Amino acid sequence: MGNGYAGKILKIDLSRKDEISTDPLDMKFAKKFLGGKGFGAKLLYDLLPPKTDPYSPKNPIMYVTGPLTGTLAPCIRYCLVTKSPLTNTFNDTYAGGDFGQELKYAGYDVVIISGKAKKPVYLQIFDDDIQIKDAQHLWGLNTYEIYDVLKSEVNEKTAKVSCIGPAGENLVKFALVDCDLHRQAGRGGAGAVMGSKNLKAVVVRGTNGISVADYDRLEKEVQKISHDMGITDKFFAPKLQAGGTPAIVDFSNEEAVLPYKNFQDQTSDIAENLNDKGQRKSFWLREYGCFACPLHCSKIGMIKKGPYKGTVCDTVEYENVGLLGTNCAVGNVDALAYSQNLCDRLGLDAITTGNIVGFTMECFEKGIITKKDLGGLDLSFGNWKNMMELINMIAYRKGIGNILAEGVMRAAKKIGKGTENFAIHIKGLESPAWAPRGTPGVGLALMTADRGGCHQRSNPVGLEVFGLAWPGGYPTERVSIKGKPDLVIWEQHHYAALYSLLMCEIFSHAGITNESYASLFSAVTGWDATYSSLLSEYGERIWNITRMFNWREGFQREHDTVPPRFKEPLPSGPAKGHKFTDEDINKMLDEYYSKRGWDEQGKPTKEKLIELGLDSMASD
Amino acid sequence: MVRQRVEGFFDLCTGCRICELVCSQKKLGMYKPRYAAIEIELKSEGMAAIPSLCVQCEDPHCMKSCIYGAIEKDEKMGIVRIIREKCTGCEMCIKACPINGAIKIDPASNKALKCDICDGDPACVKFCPTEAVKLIKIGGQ
Amino acid sequence: MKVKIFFFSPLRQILGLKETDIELPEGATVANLFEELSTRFGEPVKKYIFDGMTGRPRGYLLYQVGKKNQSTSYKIDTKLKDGEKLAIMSPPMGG
Repeated sequence: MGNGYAGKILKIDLSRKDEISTDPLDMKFAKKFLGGKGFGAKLLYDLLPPKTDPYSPKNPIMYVTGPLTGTLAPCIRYCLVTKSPLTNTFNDTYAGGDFGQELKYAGYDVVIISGKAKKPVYLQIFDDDIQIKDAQHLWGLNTYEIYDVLKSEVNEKTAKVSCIGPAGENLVKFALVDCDLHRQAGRGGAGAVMGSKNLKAVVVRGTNGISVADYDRLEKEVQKISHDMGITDKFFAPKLQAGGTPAIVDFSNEEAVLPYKNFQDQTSDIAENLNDKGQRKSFWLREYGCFACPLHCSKIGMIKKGPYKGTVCDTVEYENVGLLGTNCAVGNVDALAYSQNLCDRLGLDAITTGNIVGFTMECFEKGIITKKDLGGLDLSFGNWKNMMELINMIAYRKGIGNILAEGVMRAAKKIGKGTENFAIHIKGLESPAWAPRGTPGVGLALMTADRGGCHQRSNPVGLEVFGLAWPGGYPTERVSIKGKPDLVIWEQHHYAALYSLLMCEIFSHAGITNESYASLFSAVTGWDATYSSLLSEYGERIWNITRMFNWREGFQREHDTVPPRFKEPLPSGPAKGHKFTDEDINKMLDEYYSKRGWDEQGKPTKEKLIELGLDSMASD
Repeated sequence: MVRQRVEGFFDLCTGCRICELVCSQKKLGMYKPRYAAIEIELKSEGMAAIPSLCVQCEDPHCMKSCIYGAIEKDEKMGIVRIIREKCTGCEMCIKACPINGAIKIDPASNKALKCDICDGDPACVKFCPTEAVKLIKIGGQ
Repeated sequence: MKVKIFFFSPLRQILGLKETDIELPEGATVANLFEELSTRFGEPVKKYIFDGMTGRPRGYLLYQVGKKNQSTSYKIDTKLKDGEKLAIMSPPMGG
């Protein structure tokens, strides 16, 4: 009887070609850390000496799957785990598609890649046949070009590829890892770490199968989920199904949480061009589903007119609408679609890129950066033509692109002249398209997220705006800080546990019940679990590991804060005037730390770590 | 004479591969989509996902090219079946079949596998979230 | 004229109701519908539909159902049509 795991960990040292080994997956370890984020957190903590340079050969990049990956459980992804060159924090970044599944079929739950190749290489994983192959002829190819070349080179059109683009090769600190087709592990610069290892791509083919504990139960649960999604309860699923994540744009814009002009405001009149309706009209052709996903929120199509006509694009996801779109005041949906596609091809995280372009536009508007600095470009807000040029400059580190490629925190430091006041990042990770003024819970979530300014560790915006209770919790008032630490703690445990099962957070908002995740988990592994046991057992444990990792890297209370812009009053929208005061920030942090069993600097206490079964970390 | 087959519709297919998963589980006892009797192929930079599988030919090339008599036609049901006991995994049926991915040989058993419409109740049809695979009946009563 | 409203989480739980028909005068807008709903169902619906701070009705809540590939939310001044089927959505998250 299977339990969903493939059963092996593959270890590769690129510095030494003969150092390829496999370890059996220890089931005690699996049961304690689940998979995905949990595996990644524990492995990185144990493998990486503190304060190691992220570009050091010692910093591993790990492809991590989980027990549900490759089974019928709907929309389960895989993640890449490494120390981020952008933030120096723990970094876990997720992608859908079907690359992770293929890794499982090849027989591996985790692939740990360390070392550094002398020349560009790619890694070929065909079941037990592991080869490190020359990739000098692939160096310089963009992420779309490489697939056909590589697949015909290994003579296997059904192989799956994960790769970096020029940005990763050039060590742009927010380079992504692209997985075929059209899926990206975007945030935190995993692509730059791959680039630092001279690793251009990983190509994998698996011919094994995955067996689970209870096929009937799994099938019944999947049918129940489809039913829940389609016709019962939360009707958000059909909306997401038809409109994808840009269907959220209207909500976000009306409630004023959608960044505009480098977060100067949080609502604008251009957003409605960029929502699902605008995109459908502009270029959508068909719906695209990630592996085993009945929701298929993604769309794919072709730009029909203008300078970018003929370009095949996928949905401009909500985040990219907010950053490359409204944040840069770009209201032209064709241009927006192309800019996202350009980021994907070059291998740039589109969220960070949109944030940085917005920052540069504000510098230009304020006269801090001039046409001369930009090689003659007029970079006024909304100038999408020149935005494309700037994106290219960043990926190839040309001109000012060389400074911007370091991320907004370092760029602002270098440029100076007060630009640090409008560099919108937390711990070096550029803020996502959930602008937090007016929803203090979102602010606390961003402040305390383990990889910096990230909305995927907790994003309580919906519950805050509607004043709704979370499971087992209570309702809160939108702009009040009261209750927000409780709300954020619950969500962080929720995401930490479910990301260890590699859940897709879009799917999780589409009507699947929380109990269904526990049921999927039990059906696959044969281990008993309920939703609340997953959170209390795994969620809190895993959240504390990543906190300890960051603590060891030198992060503490002073880093848990919001950028200065969010301390200025919000100019418009329903929560007009709201800002983050130091008093509010401190109050929320005090309560958050104390409820977590952390000291006043935000370090998990010995007692807490022992309580969570993390004895080995208790003396660190 | 009855003919029936599972037919794929690319205009509705999202490429999620749920059909491959359930098919492999029913036929091979585990999730092994690579060797399922249905295959989703992506075309035009992913703009189309095309399900392909056996059409249950009236005059099957695969059957005629099998020298072991391991492929038979069930005229009553209109299904072309592989007799696993007789199959040697020689791949001649794959060579003879013009449809991409319609016949696979699972290396674990070294036996050919193709769609037998689950004897009239195909799992792929049951689980497809967009009705991109349908059971089609032609003729007969 | 008559429109059909489908309730989803959390209103379905609060009202114990999956769907309802609402009678409206010809030419009624989304705003009129929201007023009618809060008159009929009172506080819980009112709290959900109208922003507590500004009293502003949330237009994006409403969208048409039953038509493939049409999902865009309504605006507050959108005029409704007789026989339309509409859903009130659950709070969105993620991205």
